[in-house]
Amino acid sequence: MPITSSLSELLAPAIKGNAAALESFVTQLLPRVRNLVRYLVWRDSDVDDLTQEALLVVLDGLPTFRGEGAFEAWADRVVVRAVFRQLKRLRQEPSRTEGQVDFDEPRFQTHSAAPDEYMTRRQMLVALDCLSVEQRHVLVLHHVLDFTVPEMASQLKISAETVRSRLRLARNNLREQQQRRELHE
Amino acid sequence: MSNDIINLYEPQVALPKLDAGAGPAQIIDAQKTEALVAATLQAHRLRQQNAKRRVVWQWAAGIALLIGSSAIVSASLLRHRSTMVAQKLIATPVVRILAPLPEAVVQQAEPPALAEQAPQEQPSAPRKHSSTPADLLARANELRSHAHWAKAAQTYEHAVRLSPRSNEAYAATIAAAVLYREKLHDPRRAVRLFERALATNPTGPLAQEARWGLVECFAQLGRKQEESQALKSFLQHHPNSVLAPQAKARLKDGYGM
Repeated sequence: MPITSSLSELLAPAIKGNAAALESFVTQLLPRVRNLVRYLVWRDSDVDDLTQEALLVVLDGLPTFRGEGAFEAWADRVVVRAVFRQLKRLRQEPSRTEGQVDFDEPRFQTHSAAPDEYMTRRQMLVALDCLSVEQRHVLVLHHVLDFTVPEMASQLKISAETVRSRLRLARNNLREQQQRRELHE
Repeated sequence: MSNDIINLYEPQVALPKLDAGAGPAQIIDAQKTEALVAATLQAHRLRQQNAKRRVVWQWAAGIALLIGSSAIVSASLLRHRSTMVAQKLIATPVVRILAPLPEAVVQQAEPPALAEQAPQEQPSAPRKHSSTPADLLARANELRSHAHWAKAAQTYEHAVRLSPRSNEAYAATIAAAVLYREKLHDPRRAVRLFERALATNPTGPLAQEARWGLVECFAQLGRKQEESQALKSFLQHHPNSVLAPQAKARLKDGYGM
């Protein structure tokens, strides 16, 4: 995959502090991190700030990457931890409540996708936004990042049984959404 | 558009993996990507510098602590000695009092002199935070990431005041304007900042953001005439923008939302 090979090639010079390599490295990694962050959060307006925070944590941790396994998988895990930490902090803000989606906020980014991509993305988020934060996170960790149940239990600091239960509920919720859609067609 | 674009019976299909660049994040243009990357790298450099400074300060603090502890120990030892000497003197017959005391003891046995020195050791200047525009920009970004909108906006404006012609000031002006418009519900102030950014750098990398920001501010303020002018100016400067169709539509509709 081109993105993988490029990131791997850029890794060593980026760690050594080569400015050009570091810039290319961040540029290549940015879309992946933004997508992962958006999977985990409710607001488009939170994505860029959380992405920047997560990228900084990844950059800080680069020297500790041992090269065991794919870099992307390592980076994804670092991003997940960073985002969860930030979300925990943000949840303490009294003015913030999850579930308020500003997907349609007229911003530059909203309009730069092709209409079908825009629609797919919208549906994906509408589906995810119907889930509770707990269900959403297990679903993303499992189906997008291929976390195993024990890995999720460890990451979320909950029991494996709770993870399974949340996954089951999340899938049921999605199925119900699909059935409702089919009824409307 | 059909509803069958994603099938929710199969989450693994409905939620694509990240490898192919797929995912739910808004797609951003090259300029925005550049700006994000630049901001991240700048913040990274600042963190590294701060980490280095922290190490230097930790060493300095350690050395200062060592010197301070030694001074305290020496002072207490000397005080102890002078007390002993004083006690001996009290116990000594009157004739002996007239004899000169050892010089070191005289110097150390004068607490007022030490007391006078104490204020001089404290620096009279207030301790300053590092306050380059880049530092302030980074601090403001951090405040914004923690949703401290008002403090973030003030810090951005502080960065602007500090060095109005710098690149950091340009970015900070737009960032503050966006916060005033979106989070602090002060579109008037946002207008002033967007206009200032455009006056300073009319073709800068964030000119599109600034011109569209003006459109939105005037719409919020109900200033239709100025909204119309802002839309025309936007189309004139950014005819190929992804927002151009929307700008045209708004103009056509009598510049209403």
